[in-house]
Amino acid sequence: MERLLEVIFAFIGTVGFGVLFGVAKKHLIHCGITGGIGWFIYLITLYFSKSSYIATLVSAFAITRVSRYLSIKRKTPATVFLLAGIFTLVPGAGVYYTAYYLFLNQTALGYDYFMSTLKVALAISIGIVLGYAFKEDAIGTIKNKIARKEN
Amino acid sequence: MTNKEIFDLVSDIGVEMLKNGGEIPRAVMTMEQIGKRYGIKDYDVYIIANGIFATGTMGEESYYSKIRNVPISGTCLCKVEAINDLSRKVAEGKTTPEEAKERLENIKKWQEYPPLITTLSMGIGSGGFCYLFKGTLLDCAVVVLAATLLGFFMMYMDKKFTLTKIIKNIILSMFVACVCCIFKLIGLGDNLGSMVIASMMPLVPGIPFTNAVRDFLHDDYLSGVIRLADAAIVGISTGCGVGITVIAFNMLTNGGIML
Repeated sequence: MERLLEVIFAFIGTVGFGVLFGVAKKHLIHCGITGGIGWFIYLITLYFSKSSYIATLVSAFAITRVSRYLSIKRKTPATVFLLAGIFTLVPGAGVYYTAYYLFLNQTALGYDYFMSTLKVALAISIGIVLGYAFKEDAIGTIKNKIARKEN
Repeated sequence: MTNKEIFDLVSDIGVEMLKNGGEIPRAVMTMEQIGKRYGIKDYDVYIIANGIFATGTMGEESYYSKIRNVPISGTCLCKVEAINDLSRKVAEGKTTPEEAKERLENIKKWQEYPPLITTLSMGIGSGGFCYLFKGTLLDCAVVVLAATLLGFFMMYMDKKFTLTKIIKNIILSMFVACVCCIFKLIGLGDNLGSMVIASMMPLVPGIPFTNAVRDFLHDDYLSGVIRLADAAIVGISTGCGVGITVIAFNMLTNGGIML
């Protein structure tokens, strides 16, 4: 139940920051859905893998696929959904905590946060690159090939 | 339109794309497509995170080149979408340079949301994130209030002063940390740490940092370094701002505030 609430709050947060990023009104709900799906997949992967980095990677991959699908459906650049969707994963808090603990002279903690920030950012980037690496109709092509073989 | 005006128009379209958060490859592709359609030959476009360099020939042996500085600023995705539409129409050959120029002017002036709505959505979005940072529902409500106040303060600062990025971020983060600490001291809110970080969400450079790493992965090291430095400056100034406030409040309340 609490997890479900988290997904709903991720939806609200994504819509709120979508407005801040100037997403067109007609796409706002879809941005929110992208963010909600992203957080849902993050929670599930986190539950099974127990590693937030793997969860981030898988979730970023899923968000990229969803935004590419939506970008074709709604004839708009994928960035619109992607930027708003990954906002739930992005390590903004990590950058801030790094600076904060360095400022308070707690160097070891600051270093830990720095490393985890870097890893999260890398995981998101790799997830996005992987999401773009597959051709949009990859699954469709495989289906066609199977169909052709059967004939 | 003269050749020079057309060349400038294509550069302007690229600038607008880059400024509002379009990716670098997309901006390059847009400029090259439009340039090709409007008769620019040997068109070479080189774009980094904060600048555009373009050279080309038009007509009989006349060379043009354009260097534009594009400071890193806020994202407006509806403009990216509009310019993408414009470039597709031009590539199909349906739009003359005059029409394209007129549409570009419209896009520049376009505002999707009035400032009040942006401010309120800043509050609501931050409130949503508070729950993801393990805050309670009461914390979320307080964060909605704090982040909306931050939005109004931001608007006020933009109107009154012109400040550098560092000073502006230090002042804004000090303000938001102050608001959260005061709420906590009068008994509203349970978890100060998640309240502060959630209401800081509009300030912290999460997207720029990720974009920097993405640029590195796309072999664009120069843009990566530029964006990384930008994100680091913003992150350091927000961290300092909150740090100053927390130390000050600890002195005033004899250690009553702990993040």
